Amino acid sequence: MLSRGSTARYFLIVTKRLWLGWRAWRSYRASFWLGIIGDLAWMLFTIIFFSSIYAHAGNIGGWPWPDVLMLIGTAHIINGLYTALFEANVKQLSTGIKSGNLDRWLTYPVDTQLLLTFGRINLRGFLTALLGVGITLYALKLAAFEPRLWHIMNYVLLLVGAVAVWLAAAFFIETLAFFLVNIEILRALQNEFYSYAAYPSAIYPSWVWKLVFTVLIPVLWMANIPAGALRDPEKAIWWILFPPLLAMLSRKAFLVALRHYQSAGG
Amino acid sequence: MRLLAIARSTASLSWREATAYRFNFAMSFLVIAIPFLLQVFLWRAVFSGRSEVAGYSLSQMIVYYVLALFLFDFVHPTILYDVSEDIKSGELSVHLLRPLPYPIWAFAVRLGSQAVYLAVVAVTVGGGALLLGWAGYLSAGDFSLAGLLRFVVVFLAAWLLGLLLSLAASFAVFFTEDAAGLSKLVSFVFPLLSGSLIPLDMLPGWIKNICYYLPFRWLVYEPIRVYTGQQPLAPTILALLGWVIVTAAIVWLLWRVGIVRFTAVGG
Repeated sequence: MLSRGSTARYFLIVTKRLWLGWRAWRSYRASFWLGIIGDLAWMLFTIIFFSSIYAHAGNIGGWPWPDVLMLIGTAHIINGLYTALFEANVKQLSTGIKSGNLDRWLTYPVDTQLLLTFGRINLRGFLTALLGVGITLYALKLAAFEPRLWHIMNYVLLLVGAVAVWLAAAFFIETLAFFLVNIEILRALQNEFYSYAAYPSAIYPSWVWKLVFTVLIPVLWMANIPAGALRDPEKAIWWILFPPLLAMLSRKAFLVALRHYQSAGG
Repeated sequence: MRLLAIARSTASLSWREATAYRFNFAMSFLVIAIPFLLQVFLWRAVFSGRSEVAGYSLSQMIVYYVLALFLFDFVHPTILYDVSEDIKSGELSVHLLRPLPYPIWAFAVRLGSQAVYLAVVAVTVGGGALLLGWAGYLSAGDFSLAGLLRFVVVFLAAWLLGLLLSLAASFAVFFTEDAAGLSKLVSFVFPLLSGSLIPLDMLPGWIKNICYYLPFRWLVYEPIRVYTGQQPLAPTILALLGWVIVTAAIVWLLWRVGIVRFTAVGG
């Protein structure tokens, strides 16, 4: 499977698929610009939502405004990167199972999971991520906090980890399509959860809830944990062990499900 | 009468289709319950050490969100993917041969599938309200029978408007190649401008002014104020019916212009 192929060959396949994805995007320009407006509206409204609360309450669970702004920026970076690189690809698994296209992909001389991970790109996601970087930098300035290189390195590492967590969780959900056929509701549930990414961890009443929303439903991964690396890197860095673990579990689940797969297509 | 009978059968078939996927049906409780739990956590933290925020107590805020949660899924305008797929794939040409006008068919399908969801939401929200009462966040005084009756009336009118707005958004696919962008735009704009994300009176003045000219506030914020008695029922119903007429005209116009542009290729 994945480990057997040469790295150069896989790199070539990924690059080629990204190039084809870029060309496919150009067919949907109207949707692209509407999506950009949607992303900007989402960002603006998240900021308005929290700033309205701060205008009336002053703080949320002891969190000052710049820290929440940092969460908003971080959530947008993670969401943008996932949308740009993986969202459209991963979704193909469940549709492939339903339509029977998976049968064809399985005959390709390349790892199927890799094929379903890279290829289509969504440029809109990169813009969302860029805006997220801008908000995070502004939040740091507002907080008069200058992170050291060590903080930034941890932050970037945990950002990558968060995208990996999202990808692994999405793959896990898509894998359930082998058994459930229709997984739209689970996908909706995942997206719904992640829209609460910018809620500060201080709102959770106990550590049990925090653990649930970090490990079982990884909402806290989508902003709080990476952003925590900017403030307290020593404490946050241990979480970096979680994404590879989840990716391994997700991979295992995919392979087990594949072993039991009986074609559904006609 | 015949059209009504066909529309009723279509709605009934949609109900059966929606309950066919039992796992999805069961999971839809979680889609409602967990985000609501996070909202309760958030406002609990906001009210920590305070008895009032912007004129609301914690229990009033929770009642607001209970009702907003109930309303949201029925009134928020969304792209009806059946409709957008029919237009994009050319399947619409088959519907054009059928006796029931397509807009009425699409309306009936949505109504049928949402009727199932209404049962799910009513059970989840009702159960959630009981749990919140048990946890001490709500008391019997937070609910009134007269308020609930007023709410049911205004909810039905808001539901009708929401369905028509969804139909209008879906017919926009005649003019854009892909509905995902438009869908995302609507889904992000609506929660804030309708008051389902936060009560409109907590927003900055300039947004409140924008909301004044849009139909969205009549779908969530005003119906909740009707429940609490802050807004009279009759003018709210009149405003909703006014928007229903305007939106129905837009749906008709989009359909008439869209169907002229529509092309289906292949067999």
